[in-house]
Amino acid sequence: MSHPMLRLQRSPVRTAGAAVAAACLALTAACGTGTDASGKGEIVEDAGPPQDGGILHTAATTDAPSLDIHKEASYMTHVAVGTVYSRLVAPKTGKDVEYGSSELEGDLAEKWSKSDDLKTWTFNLRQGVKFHDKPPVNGRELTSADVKCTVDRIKSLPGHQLGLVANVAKLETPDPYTVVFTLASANTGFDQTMANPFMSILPCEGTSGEFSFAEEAIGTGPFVLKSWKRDQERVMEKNPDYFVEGLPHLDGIQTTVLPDAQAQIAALRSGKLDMISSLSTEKRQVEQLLSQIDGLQLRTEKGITQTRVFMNAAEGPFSKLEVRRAVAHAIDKEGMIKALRSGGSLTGPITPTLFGSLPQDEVDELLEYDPEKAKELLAEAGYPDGFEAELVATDGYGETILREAQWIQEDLGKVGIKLTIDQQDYATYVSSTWPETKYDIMYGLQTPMLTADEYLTSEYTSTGTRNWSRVNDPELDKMVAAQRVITDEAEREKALQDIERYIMENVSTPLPLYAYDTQTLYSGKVHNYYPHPDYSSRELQNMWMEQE
Amino acid sequence: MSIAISGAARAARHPKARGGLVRFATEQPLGAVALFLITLFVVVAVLAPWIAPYDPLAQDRVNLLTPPGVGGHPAGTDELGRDVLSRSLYGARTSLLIAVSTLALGGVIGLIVGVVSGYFGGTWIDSVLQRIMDALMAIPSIVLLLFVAALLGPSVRNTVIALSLLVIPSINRVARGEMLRIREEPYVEAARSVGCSTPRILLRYGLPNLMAPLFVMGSLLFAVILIAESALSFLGIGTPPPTPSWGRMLSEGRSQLEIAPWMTVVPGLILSVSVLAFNLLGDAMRDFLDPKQRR
Amino acid sequence: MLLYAGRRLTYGLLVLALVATLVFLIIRLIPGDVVRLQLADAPGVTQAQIDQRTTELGLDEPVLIQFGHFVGGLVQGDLGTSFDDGRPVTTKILERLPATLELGLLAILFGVLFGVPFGLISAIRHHSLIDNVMRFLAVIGMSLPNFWLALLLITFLALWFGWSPPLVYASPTENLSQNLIHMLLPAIALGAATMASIARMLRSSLLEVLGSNFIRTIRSRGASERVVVLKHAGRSSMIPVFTVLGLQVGSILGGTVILERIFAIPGMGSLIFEAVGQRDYPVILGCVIFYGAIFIFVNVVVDLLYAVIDPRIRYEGASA
Repeated sequence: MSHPMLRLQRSPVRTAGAAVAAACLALTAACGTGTDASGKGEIVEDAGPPQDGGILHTAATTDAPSLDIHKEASYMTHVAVGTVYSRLVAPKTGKDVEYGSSELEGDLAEKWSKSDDLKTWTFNLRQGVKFHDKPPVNGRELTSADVKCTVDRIKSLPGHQLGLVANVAKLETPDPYTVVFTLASANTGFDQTMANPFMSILPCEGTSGEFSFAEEAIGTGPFVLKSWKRDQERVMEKNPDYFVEGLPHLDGIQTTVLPDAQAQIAALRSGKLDMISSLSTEKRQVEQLLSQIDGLQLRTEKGITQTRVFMNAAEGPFSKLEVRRAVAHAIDKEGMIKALRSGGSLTGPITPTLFGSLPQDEVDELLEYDPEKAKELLAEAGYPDGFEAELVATDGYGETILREAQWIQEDLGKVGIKLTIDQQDYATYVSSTWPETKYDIMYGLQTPMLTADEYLTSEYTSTGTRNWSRVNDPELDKMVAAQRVITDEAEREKALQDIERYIMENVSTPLPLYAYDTQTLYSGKVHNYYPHPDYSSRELQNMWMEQE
Repeated sequence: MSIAISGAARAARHPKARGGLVRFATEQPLGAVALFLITLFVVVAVLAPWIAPYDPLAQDRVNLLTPPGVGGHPAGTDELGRDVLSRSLYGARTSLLIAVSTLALGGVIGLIVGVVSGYFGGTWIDSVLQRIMDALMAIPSIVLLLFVAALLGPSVRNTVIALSLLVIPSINRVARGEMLRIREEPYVEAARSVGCSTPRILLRYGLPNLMAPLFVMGSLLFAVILIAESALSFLGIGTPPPTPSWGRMLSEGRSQLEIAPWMTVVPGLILSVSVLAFNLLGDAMRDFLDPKQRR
Repeated sequence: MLLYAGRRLTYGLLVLALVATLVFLIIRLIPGDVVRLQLADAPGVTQAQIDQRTTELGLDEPVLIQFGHFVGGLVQGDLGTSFDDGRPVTTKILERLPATLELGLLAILFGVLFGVPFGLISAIRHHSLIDNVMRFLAVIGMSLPNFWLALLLITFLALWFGWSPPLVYASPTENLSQNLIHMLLPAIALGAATMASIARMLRSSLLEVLGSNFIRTIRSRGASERVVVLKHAGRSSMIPVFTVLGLQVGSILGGTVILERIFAIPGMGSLIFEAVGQRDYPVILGCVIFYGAIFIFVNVVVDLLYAVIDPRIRYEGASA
């Protein structure tokens, strides 16, 4: 088990705000049409009126650990049951909507409004929305009580998603179709919070324990979970009573768990699969497939998952800032992207697609590949002859990460930092080494987060929930706290960028390298696939397939 | 492995068939070819640093994933621009290191168990030891390896430990069978009657007689270890990167199988030929030492 | 015969008990409190579970008592519950067992179906061109790692013929033909080595028998070579073939681990692999013991088959 496709699907444990998805995921994200030199792989934008029917065959490299979207941190769970549930509001997707747009549309809510003090949010639910016809819910109508049950459940469970509703002081349901949230403090983006896939509305029967969300998913979404054979397949069927007239177009979705990438590619060739997420690394493979399979469409997704070098700021040789900055300049990032990824862009602490991210040219400069400068910095730090260290990496993210680790090993070796690679299994890496900072230097991925603030607060402040590099910079703490209360947009953007510059120059751990692009390949008969980078796969309700 | 055991067991019955290299070569031409290949393998493994065109870890950033012959890389490069041929040659070194260490560790333990067991054949000591060996044999090697890897984590050392568990029972079987036989030989009985101590008898008469069947067994086990090591590395729990190992190279190259077949064909071919050579040599030695097979 | 069968079975149970002991010892012998350490690493494991498992494994008690607990649970078929989903390990394994057994049996079937004729032809026409070709193929079959063969098959069948195995594993009772098509490639990849071993073993044992005085006599009476081989030599040379099978069980079981993974077959092999990744200790232990049990069971059966084919074995083999 060692193929990138297999491993890339396991992203770092997800945080509540990480709703904006890992780009390495099959069913997310697109931002433009990818074509290779031969012009193959073009996405058919206008394929005529949608046709109903057909089953989409797709593959996953690993299965969801369980179906409980609140208890599982793995985004595989959200991918697995995202189409079963609905939220109050959801991000819009479609041909004319920009990829990753935060524009919302009503999902269960017909309309919603906020009070002037931004503390009271009222959602008016659609009437006549039916749950899937499965016991014990048996197709009853969804009411505001279910929203309350869901929020109460989130509050009662430990987990990252707690942060989403922590601000909710009171939740009232004056009638079956109205939900009123009263917030403890003003929040201008509370509707965005409710659009998070964690906020899928569950039936009260489940929250009261009449069935287990770990093994059963009953919602109001476009698809009904027909069967789930763990580590084998998930079968979704069209919801005949879906509240949006005429949707979904597909009769069903069949997801097969195929850990081996070669097996997935073989199945795509033979037409048994309609869609695979190809990995960023296999660009030549992708080109070959495009030239061999007629009509195959390629969607290149602009990267939002960052690769990171994590360095222990509290102990060991990397506790010296100069050493960490030397690392930043010693690695040939552009070369890495070119050799090992299908595309990507250098990034600061905040992913380039988010508000507050640094302009690209500035990032490029801050991360400039300059081994000579790296050597100088090392000498300044008192290591003119370099030193030896162990680089931790996991095979849990796939072969590519290990290759990149070896690339880094070579680059750092050239400036005098002699690394040996400590390859760990994913379980050890993610549950012990990383959160407990049992490393001097480590290379891996960071699951994308939703906002600039989340990146800065959780990873770079001394009390951050994911400050696993042990950063402790009072000045930075102050700056991060200060930007949160800035209301003027331009001013706040500047503040965020200042912080990023500060981090790059004075902290340099976790050191972001780049956000890489990914690619999805799908058959010529599949149309209207405009994904959103959250994990919900809700866009599949609009997808349709040409019928023979 | 099956063949290994029964073959070695058969050879064990006829250990006295000896002959020079020349006779071996004429009687077993395939064996001679195999011996030549193995010699080549060992020479390559030992001399890898001198004969490999490049450092197996050096990344030629200008020539990434180039086909054979391009940019001065006779067998092409991998995604990091490392020379596939050099890595394959160094892979022989890794394999040889692991196989020899495994055979040494597992062989010594297996030998001791087998010799002691055989010498005390039929007594409770024998029974206990043999049942333990049966139990060890009952766990499929990969499962055993996964188990050990889960406990210890992947490394060359742990691979050796895990693979030794696979070698011990096989060596034991050969050694015990042989001991049971020579125990009854007149010269051993004579030695015993003049009061030679047990260890002395074992060393003086036991070991020399064991050498021939052990060579057969060792050769066949070598093949088994090569495959097991590559399987472990293929699964990502064997030799850790960046150490060149055939199994790891196969695993690294599998996603490029269609577009850069050289990444896997070269190490795959060398692995298969090496396994083949050890299998053939084992067979040939067995046939050579076994008069019944000579017709 | 019954007595013999009983004795073999008892012996099998004894070895199985030893397997369990060995597994237990290997965990104990590894330096440091590895088990505890690893338990703590397992994702989603609570401290309560760690304590419970520590108590279950009796790590706070003297070794002998620990061992008692371990065996006690084992005897009752209690292998504990999975860390991953809290279900009983035995249940989890029994769900996965059929696919592994089927794959193993199909691989053996493939090995026998092709190995026996190859061996026979090789022996009848020994030192001919066809013999040499077949011997060579057999040695190649033994030298090609099964996972490598599987990958080549899967990649190039799709590339050249646009064919790939069915996506979803169907159990034989659900859809027999789909099941068999799914199993085809892994069974071939796995059975190739068995085929090679059988062919080689059969050839050499046939040659041995054919050289015996008994056969010379028959031959001198003018029987055709075909009659000699099939009628007279065949029976006695089948014994080594059984030996091969008994011994191949180990490598076939081992091979299922990798092949199940490549071909997405929900068997015990993928289970133990997932369990290793998740540090799901009870499942790993359970699988190791189950693999041991299958191996021992098959070998006892092979022993008994020997005894049926050749009654002399009962006396020879009983002491070993």
